[in-house]
Amino acid sequence: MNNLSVNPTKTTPQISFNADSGVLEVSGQSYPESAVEFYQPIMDWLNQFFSNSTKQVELNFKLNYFNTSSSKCILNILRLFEKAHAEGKPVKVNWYHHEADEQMQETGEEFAEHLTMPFKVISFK
Amino acid sequence: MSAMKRVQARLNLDGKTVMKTNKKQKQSEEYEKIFKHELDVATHAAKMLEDNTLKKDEWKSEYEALLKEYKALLRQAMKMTKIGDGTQQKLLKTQEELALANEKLERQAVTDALTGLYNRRYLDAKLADAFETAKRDHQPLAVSINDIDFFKKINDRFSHQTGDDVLRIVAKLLRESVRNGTTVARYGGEEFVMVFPNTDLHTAVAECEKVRKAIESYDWKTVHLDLAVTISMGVCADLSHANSEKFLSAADEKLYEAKHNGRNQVRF
Repeated sequence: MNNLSVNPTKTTPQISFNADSGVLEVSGQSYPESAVEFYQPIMDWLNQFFSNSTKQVELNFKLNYFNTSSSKCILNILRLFEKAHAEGKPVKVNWYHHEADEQMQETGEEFAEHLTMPFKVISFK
Repeated sequence: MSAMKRVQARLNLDGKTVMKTNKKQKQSEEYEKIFKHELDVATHAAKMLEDNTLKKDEWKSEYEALLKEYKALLRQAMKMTKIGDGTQQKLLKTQEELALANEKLERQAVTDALTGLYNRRYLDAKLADAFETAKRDHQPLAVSINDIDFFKKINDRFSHQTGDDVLRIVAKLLRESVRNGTTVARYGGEEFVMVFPNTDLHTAVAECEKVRKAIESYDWKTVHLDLAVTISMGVCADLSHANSEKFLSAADEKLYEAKHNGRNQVRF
């Protein structure tokens, strides 16, 4: 599987996946005109990855703002990870938020609720 | 952009015809793609409803699967609502902070940093406006321009720090000595301008005299044992001048007179 790298824009986050380390990172802000257009290729890529690999995947979110459509896409991505987790694949998700950003912390905790896979909310300075 | 929107007929979830513009249709399709999984579930359920061959236990498992999906969707909807509300709160907070920052910037743009008085930029606009208004409404208006006596000597003999202290204290005395509604500005170096709206020459001179005395009698020894500060003031209330610049120049001529007549006095 190849590395995945999408450069950030004003309205879309940076996406990077290191195939060697198995770390997928989504960072920045997300309010694309078309959330599907932006997230679908990542979903497709993840689907393909999970069907081909049993490697551990770590998903790191470092977002500071996203719109509602993006939140639905994030939920879709999380569902993919839950499915992989249910199939016994080693996955974990980390939700990073700036320590002063209470809203992003609460958002991470909200996402974490009801999930069965490992999901950590981590603050940074 | 053209106001023409092609209206299209399309089918909604229940198979009913709805009319939508191209843009709105595109938006709808966008959300249908995001909710593709959920729409697929609904489509499947509708198909099952029409299937008369299903046995009871098949119905049951269909219903269970649907309930599971429904619960998952409900959970998602609640999460998204909560997260959306949180984001809106954050944006509102940002908006408030931005408004406060803007207010501060606007204030800074018209304020002299050292004394906290209005700056020259504000004064020029304010005086021009007051001059026009007074002329139009046939109301009196007075202006005074004031200069600390021997300020350069204060700076040289004591220090620039002392000079700054003097400017700050004079600014405070100016502000506190005059009536509400008087605009007090630092015009430049050690020069201050006051605009007295609705005030005739006699009253403005009395106001200036109050200020002059306040400065003269201030206990300057608290700043430096050998320090004494006075101010010279020129007043004009003659609205026959062509514009506010000439109006202020006339006051400046009176200030010149005050300086040459021994300082520490109000001339008009």
